[in-house]
Amino acid sequence: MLPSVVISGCGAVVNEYYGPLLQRRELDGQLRVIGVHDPSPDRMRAVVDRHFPSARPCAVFTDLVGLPADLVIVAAPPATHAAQVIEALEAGRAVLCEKPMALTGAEAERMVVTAERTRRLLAVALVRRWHPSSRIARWIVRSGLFGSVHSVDVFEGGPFRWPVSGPGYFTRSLSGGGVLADLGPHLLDLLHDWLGELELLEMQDDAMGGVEANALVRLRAGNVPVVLRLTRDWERPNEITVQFDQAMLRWRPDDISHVTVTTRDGQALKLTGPEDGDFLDSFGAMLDAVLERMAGCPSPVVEGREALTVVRLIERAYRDRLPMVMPWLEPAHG
Amino acid sequence: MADLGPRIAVVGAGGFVGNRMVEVLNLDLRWPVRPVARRASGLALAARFALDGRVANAMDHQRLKEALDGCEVVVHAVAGDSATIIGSVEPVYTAAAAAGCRRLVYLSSAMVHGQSPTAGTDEGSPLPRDQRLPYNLAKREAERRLFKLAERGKVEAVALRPGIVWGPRSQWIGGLADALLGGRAGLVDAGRGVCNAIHVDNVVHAVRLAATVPGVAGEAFLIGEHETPSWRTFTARVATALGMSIEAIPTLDFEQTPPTLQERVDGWRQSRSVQRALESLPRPLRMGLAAAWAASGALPQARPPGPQADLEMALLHRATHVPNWEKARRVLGYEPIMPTDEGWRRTIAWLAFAGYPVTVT
Repeated sequence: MLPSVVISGCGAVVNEYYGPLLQRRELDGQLRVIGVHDPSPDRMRAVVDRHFPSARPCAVFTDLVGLPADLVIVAAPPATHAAQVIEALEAGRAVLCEKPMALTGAEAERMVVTAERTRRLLAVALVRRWHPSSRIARWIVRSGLFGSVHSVDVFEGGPFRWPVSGPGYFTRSLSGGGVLADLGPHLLDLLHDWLGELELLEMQDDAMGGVEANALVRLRAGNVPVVLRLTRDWERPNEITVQFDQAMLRWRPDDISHVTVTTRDGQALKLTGPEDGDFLDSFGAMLDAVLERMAGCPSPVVEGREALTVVRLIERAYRDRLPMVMPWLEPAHG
Repeated sequence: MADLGPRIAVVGAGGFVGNRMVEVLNLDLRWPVRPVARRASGLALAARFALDGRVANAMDHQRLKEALDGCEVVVHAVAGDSATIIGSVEPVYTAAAAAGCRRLVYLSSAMVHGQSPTAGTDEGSPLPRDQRLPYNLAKREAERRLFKLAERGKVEAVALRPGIVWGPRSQWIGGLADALLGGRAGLVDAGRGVCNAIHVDNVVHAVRLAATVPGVAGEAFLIGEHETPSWRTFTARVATALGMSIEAIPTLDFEQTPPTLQERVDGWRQSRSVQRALESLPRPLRMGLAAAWAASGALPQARPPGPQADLEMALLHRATHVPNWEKARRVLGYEPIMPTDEGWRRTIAWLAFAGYPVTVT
């Protein structure tokens, strides 16, 4: 019996990733997509026509979870995640929820409690865990191969080009915030996975009544200082740098397959995972892990309880935020 | 205390100057401003403020009209290729007219006079038609179309012609820093030519005046600054901030060559007679030609590594004069409001903020 899947949300992440991936899997006879939901009839029709002609379009989310699906993929705007995930879990479905899992820790806690009570899987789509390159980095950090970690610096972002559907995306009520709510879940999840518990020291951003395009987060993992700089502003080399006793690891987050390690004697090693791939392959590996877990295999997924840690961290960061220092915004006086 | 100015729509708010305009109008002047971007993603920077941002393609009259409704002034700050520069003028103008806007301020360029203007160039000087850079020709044609529309339309048109617009988020700064760090920077003739530089805050100040000063409909204004550094000095500011010596920047040769076939066709295509002929074609044929043209211009061209001079760089670095902006001073009351040293202090602070390895602030 093929697993059956329904999708809530027909925005950018579905058009870019879930649509092509699930379509391919359906053609390969690995699963069936039986329903799609989006409040916009046009967006929903476009996804159905393009990827899933046999899926049932559902104008109402309740109708979607009423379909006999094994898995509900929640890829709707973040503000709807908690309500949709809880409704799907209560209906007995397993859920793969896009990031950010929820806008608040309280929402995320309710989602996790519901999953535990209903004994249904709640997995969170923190897809970077499935990049071969991030697995290599994780192994290097956790194995202590090059000694202990001294510091971690992250600089990620660039001019915002994600094909969002409208200006509503840039609202705290719909998205939870700006660049930190968007990229933060991925990066903080990786850092938490690699280094353990993260303590928030400071968060600065450039929101001035709206949502931030730039954020600077200072953290500590034990004694290791961690700096996370995120931007939707200007193109710079995107890089995660981990300084060890005996080497420095560099990883470009858009490089799915490789990390570079430079040893203290200047040797540069380019480390490659067992398989080369692209972002879609990482989504595929994540989906496989979720389906395997649903089938009773112990495949690693990021469960809601684990993702909750990062939701709380981001919530605390926004609560304690300080304005960034930006002298070029001061009025000019000639 | 800030004065409550006219409601202004900034079309092209996602770009460098458009973004700074939104910042200044909102933060400093507290004027009601409406950012308009071609795609929703273009509102990422404007979304730092609680503003009524709109999405409308500059070629889409109806969406633009809706986006401009209720605004008194429209600033046209749309960047793009030649087709966008020329093609966006009419939709923005007609949408502004349909929305009942009073004035349109068009962000043109001093490059309509060429990168290397002759002594005494001002707004009265004829705009050269034999320029080899498509951007110059496109801006020239865009201005011509705008003023022609305004002759018979109700919306007043004013054009501003800044030169090298620098400051935080300028490609002349960030792009130069990238080139310096990547070993691709160079100076033609040791960068002795004059740089017609203007800080972005001075451009925004001029826009504010162009939006409000009465009796300037149909006028174009060159704008500039009192100091005109050499390109060597300008480059040295950025290099020094990055801990590099200007002495290490190589001097490049550039020999003027006859126009390439591509340049000749570019110039031919943008001539007025060809534009008129193209306009008379049926829309599907026109669109097909435009697509074919875009494809031909997009052909990859091999570029050897290391510093290379191109025609624009050579013309700029060999410039001997900057245009005269006395008319803006006299008619608009324009005076630069950003002192040069302060402008550089802010610009270098931004470079550090943006993640460049600034060693000297």
